[in-house]
Amino acid sequence: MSGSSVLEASGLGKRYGSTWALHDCDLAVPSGSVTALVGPNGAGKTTLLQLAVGLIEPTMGTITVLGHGPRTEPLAVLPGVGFVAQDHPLPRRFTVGETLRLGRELNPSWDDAVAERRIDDLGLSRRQRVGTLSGGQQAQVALTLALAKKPRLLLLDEPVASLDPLARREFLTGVLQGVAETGVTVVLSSHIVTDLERVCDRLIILADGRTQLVGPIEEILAGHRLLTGPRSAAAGVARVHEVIRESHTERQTTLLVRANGHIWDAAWEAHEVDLEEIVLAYLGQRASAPSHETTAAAR
Amino acid sequence: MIWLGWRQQRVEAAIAAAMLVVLAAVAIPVGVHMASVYSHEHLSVCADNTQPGACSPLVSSFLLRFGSVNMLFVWATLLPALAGLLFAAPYVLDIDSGTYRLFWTQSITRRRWIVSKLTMGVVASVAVALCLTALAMWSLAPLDHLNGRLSNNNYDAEGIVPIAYALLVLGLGVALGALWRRTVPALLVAFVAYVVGRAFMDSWLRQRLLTPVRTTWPGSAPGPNLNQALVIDQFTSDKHGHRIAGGGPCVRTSGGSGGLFTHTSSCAQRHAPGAHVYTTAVYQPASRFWELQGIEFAIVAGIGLLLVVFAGWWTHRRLA
Repeated sequence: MSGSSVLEASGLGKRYGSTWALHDCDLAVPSGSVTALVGPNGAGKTTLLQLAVGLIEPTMGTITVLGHGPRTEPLAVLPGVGFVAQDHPLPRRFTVGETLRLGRELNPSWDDAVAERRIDDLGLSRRQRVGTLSGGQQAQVALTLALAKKPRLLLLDEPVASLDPLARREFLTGVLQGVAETGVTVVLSSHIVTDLERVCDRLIILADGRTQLVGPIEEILAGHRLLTGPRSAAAGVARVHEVIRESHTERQTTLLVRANGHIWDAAWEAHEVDLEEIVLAYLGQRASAPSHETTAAAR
Repeated sequence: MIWLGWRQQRVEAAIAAAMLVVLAAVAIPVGVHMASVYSHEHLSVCADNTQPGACSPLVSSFLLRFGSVNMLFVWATLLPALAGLLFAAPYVLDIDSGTYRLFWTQSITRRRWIVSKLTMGVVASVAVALCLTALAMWSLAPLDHLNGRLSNNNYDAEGIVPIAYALLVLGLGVALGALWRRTVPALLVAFVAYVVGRAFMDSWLRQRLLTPVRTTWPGSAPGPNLNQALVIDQFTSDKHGHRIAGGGPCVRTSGGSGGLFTHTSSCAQRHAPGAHVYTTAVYQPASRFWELQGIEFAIVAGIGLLLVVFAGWWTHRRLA
């Protein structure tokens, strides 16, 4: 593996029955980055994260995490990876204190100081049962458990999907604090794009089990433009730039393009687009032009 | 992992302990009382049934008085099963609630988690079943001496068979739980499967575990002592043990039911007056108690442990 990647996938695929949950996926997550894994439900986000932490085995291709295979060398991977599963399952009958003890018992790299301080900051009593905590608090306890492992890679599967906006913001702040303190690499999946820009510097768009777009958010923002201009000239743009989405009215055409270099054509007016719009455009493109695999699977 | 295992099954352990305490609170005073009556009336000399005349009334009154103690341990067929269900629950609950994902993504392998959880379930179930069988064997000892322990009531509660059934139910629970990933239906079905299997064993398979002894004796002779035996069949026959048509059983004793063998030659004469009439009995003698228990234990505990191993294998291979 290249020295700067903590997670690398090549030709990675996972099939359930006749459906590919993830197909031919190549990606690298650079050390120190905070990557948002974005896509609609069923896009393969959970599958990718579960492959990374060794909960499932790839059907094809390889994945290495911290330089090792999560399934073949779990003890080389697991201590370095903090994982919060979807709906952050915790033993409901445990108290907060017992949950921390669980982490201490099962992780040699456990840092009690980190755990204790986070629980104090959250204002939680160690005697409180996890089952009686709010969803946001449970998510925070699960994050505490993951961060106190002192991981080099933090994988969060839809951590904020079930949280209200305030709890979502607090949770992401917790992630940012962890990043600031330890420089941990983060991959977090979400189908909600709001707030991600504040936290993440890289983006992976997944749809239908394939990566649609991978890269630093800054570059993605710089590389995409919304063009408005005459309908007749649309074909000319498509020859140079990749058109992600197009819409037409009688008088003008609007194109969202991935620009291949600068757009010089004076006939077009170029605007910057925000991340949410880019993501939606990529996901919309998939929905309007389904691939052969999904058509076959639907039958 | 030890602390974690204990933390996750301490409620179950408390329930099992409470169960044992309640049972002991009843069985120990009754057992003490029964043992004192037994020794006070010198009933030990009657155990081998060599003096039927002198012993009959004493034994009958003793059995009349204490025969119902057996009923206390009828529950013993359910208690090992409950222990198995109780200690299957923590494993199935972790799978059901998805918390296994939390444990598998700490710094331990899933293999280690599976092996420790299942081992703790096996150890706890066996420990509870051991307590149950020890309690039953101690308090039922006087009745065993007089009545034998091959009747279902005593046989089910004593020896090593309760341990086997605890393991069977544990195995059914964790295997169905691993397959189904739903705690309540999995454990309910495990319990129903246990009851069906148990009924089959008690009423049909057990008496066939060893080839029964077949004895034929003349109607006028006293015949073998079948008090403590498990009598499978007894009928009027000819000299060679062939059943005589219409000759139903004259005396049907089954060990432990409380009835003493009574010799009724008049019965044989009623069926075939004046003829040479024989009685044939098919039975498992009392001396085979441990042999039968050993075979039944091997079968039942073997199936139970195989199911436990299957549950572990399935969890390891199929869960994500």
